[in-house]
Amino acid sequence: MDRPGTAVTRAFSWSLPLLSGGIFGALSTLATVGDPDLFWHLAQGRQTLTDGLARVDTFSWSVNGLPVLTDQWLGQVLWYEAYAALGWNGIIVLRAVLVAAIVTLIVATALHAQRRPIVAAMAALPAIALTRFAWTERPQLMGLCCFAVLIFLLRMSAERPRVLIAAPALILVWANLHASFALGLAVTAIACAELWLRRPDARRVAVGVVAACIAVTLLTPSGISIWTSASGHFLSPPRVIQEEGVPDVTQPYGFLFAFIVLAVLVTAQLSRPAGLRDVALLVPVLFVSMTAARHTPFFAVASAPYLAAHAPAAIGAIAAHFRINVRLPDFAPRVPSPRIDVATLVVALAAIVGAGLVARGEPNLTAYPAGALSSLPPGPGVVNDYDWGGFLIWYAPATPVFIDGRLFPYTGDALRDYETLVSLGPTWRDVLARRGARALLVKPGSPLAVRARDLGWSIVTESASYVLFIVPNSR
Amino acid sequence: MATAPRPLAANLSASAYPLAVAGAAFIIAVGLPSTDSDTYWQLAMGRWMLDHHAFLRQDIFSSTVAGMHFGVGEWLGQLAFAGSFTAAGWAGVAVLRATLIALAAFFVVRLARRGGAAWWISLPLVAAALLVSKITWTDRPQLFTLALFPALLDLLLSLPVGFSRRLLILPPLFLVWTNLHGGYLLGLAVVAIFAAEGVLTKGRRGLPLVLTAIACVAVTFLNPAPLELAGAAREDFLNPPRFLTEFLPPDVVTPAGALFAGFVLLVIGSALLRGGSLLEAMLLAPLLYLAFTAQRQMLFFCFAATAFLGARLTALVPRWRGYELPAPVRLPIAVVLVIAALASALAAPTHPDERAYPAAALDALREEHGVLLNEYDWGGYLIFNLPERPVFIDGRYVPYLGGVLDDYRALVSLRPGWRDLLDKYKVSELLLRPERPLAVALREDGWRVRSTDSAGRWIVLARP
Repeated sequence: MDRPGTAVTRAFSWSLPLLSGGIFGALSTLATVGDPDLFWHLAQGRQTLTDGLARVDTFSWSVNGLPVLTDQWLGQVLWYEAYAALGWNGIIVLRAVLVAAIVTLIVATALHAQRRPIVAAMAALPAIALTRFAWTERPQLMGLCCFAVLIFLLRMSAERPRVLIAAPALILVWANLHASFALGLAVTAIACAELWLRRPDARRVAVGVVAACIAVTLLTPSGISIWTSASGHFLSPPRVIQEEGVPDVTQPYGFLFAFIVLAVLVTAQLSRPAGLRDVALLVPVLFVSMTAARHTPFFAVASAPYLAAHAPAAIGAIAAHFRINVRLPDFAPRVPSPRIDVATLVVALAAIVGAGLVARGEPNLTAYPAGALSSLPPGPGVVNDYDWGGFLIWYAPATPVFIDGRLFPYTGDALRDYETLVSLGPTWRDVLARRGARALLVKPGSPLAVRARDLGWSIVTESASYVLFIVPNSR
Repeated sequence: MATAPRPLAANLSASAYPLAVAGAAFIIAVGLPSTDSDTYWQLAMGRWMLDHHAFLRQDIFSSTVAGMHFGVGEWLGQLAFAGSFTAAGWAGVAVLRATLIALAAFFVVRLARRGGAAWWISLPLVAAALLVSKITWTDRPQLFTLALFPALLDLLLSLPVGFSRRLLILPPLFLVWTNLHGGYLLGLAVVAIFAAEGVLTKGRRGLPLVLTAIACVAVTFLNPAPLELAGAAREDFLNPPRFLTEFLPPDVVTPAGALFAGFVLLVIGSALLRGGSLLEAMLLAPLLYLAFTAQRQMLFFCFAATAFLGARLTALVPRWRGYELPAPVRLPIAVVLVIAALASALAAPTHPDERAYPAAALDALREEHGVLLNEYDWGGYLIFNLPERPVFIDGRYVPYLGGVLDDYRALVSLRPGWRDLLDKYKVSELLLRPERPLAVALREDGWRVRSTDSAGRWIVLARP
């Protein structure tokens, strides 16, 4: 088996990446809308557009008036604008466009490292599959898209350092979209350090880019505090949230993540040594990906070009031990003309938008207490399940929530009280009384619901997935 | 080619680093009191077998699975711990634990020093690997696997190509290991990997190791319950019980998880820069996957990684490669540490650390005889210290799968149907953490508080 170079870029066509992006973007429209956090993001986006950026909570009765994070304001506005323009189908279209962009960039970066289209596509597939678990209607999908752009830029900058000049603009947008910009900044700084070491002629560019990237992160409504939100999330991930949990290989996404890590490990062992650039891009991102389930796609995206370039050599080395002579076909791929690229782009966009518009737009609300909406008492006093907070913010604005997926405004007393209540801690009655709870909207299997039913509390409405109790003797 | 035997002084000098680190590890480990809940039921099983001169093949400790057939695969490990306890009490247990950890340390140093790795590179690697392994420094048969795994790796990595008399060590080693702990399966997998790599890279000269591997597999059937251990190991691997901390996936924001992540990053980072070998890939990839399944498996990857990292990291800094402590310095250090280790055995703790257990509840519990619902983590402690009260559940875990464990979780978490379960098991008394929803509900329902901990760690409730 021959050993491909790290970057064979005599000619490059966007047709395959765009085709891949179009296919996966269109496929993503098959998934219905329904992420628990989508609803409060939409509500915040609408609030930002109508009333200006809210810096204190207005959706809950437990932390009402207390500071909230504003680090995703732009992402929220974009999601809401999509909704405002096309209804729920607008959400599906925007999600499909982002998915298509991510897939396009993954394949393009792989193709940049490996000129054989089939090999590049094969190497990109695990990464595409793992990003599937992040195809949610939230600003974090935009963050993942920015990360894919950054990896593309950094790979390109190995030969053309001036490409890095685009990085500060990317970080500026990213910092206003999602807190994952911190990873982008760190990876940019490490890649620039590598460039500084490798290319003395590019040191000025490297230093300038890092300085500009740091500076632009302050150009957000959060100012310097954007750093505390990002670092707090990273250093102390709230493990009670499923996606913030440790990557688990017994789950499909975890298995895929482990597969990619092992593929990189085996490839590194069996192919020829890579450059410092690969180490700089892969090692820090791997660490971040190991911190939480939601971070695993980052390593998948970062490793796709490395696998594209080096995995064939590793496979060849293994095959050689079995006396199998594996050779990749030695051919000069025909690079389609730019007109084909443009045509592919148009077709891909048409497929994505068309599929998005005809997709089932209505959100899938089977996981939510939709049947309880008409029975909810207006005003404060309803203790709701964490997973339903965002849903209630959007669908029951007259009933402020006790807690929701924004999480960070609640850390402290509110979260502690919520945990005491739902887990039936020893002081649960005191918490109910102190908070002035009037009703409970919880899952029937939760200890709180079981206890309330034992005690014969009045049930307003219930189903297999929710139950609404009235708290006795409440005001 | 035969090598001339080395004089004792040369052997001692070569083993100075491993001996010194083993001595230090012994001193640290022997000073730790027993804390693990599972130690108690392992000791109880071993004690029963010593008393009755028979295998304990069925449950005699619980009210929920009494009489059920129960695996005896780790009987030798349990006997070893029970024998140590009988001989010298808790100090004996501590000395056995420290000895096994010291053995592990000895072989991990040998692994890390392979390929001429500099001591100042291998020492931090060894320290980190041992810190990762600390999660398993509990007084249970798994400590034997902790010691035997690096010993096996050291043996396999030092084997010459083709037949060697050292191969003959392997079958007896597995005969003992298979009766000590279920980790022998991992050892078998490692031998199979070396055998496969030998055939792939050396052709027929790899066949002696293949034949030895087959012999190793054969001897593992010389166990009172050969398939039971394999079944339990498969269950742990495919469906790890995530409610137990040691079975949670590695968490890189914890100290041990961060060190593990460091190993992963070092292995991948250094391999990216310097490349590796087929053996390294075949060995480390499955061990890394195993490590991802549960925290308690992280140590195997880290131990194996030291065998390759030491030399590779040393090669990255060739200028400092040759710096070694002279023999007149390292030998005395090793001798002093070994002597200190032997002396430290006299200071081994004579009592376990019972702060995590409801020791003060035992008197109250002795007064009743009905079915006791106890906290999972305290089952082993009760088996050992309160044998007259069968437990509801304990850390043996496997006999409770498929019914009792689910019922226990439904009960303590106050899931729907909990009252029926209380009646089904005829629970008359419970010993739980006070914050358990069941304890909260039953207190409200008027169950009597028979005893409670002033620090709020446990409560004994009885039917009204």
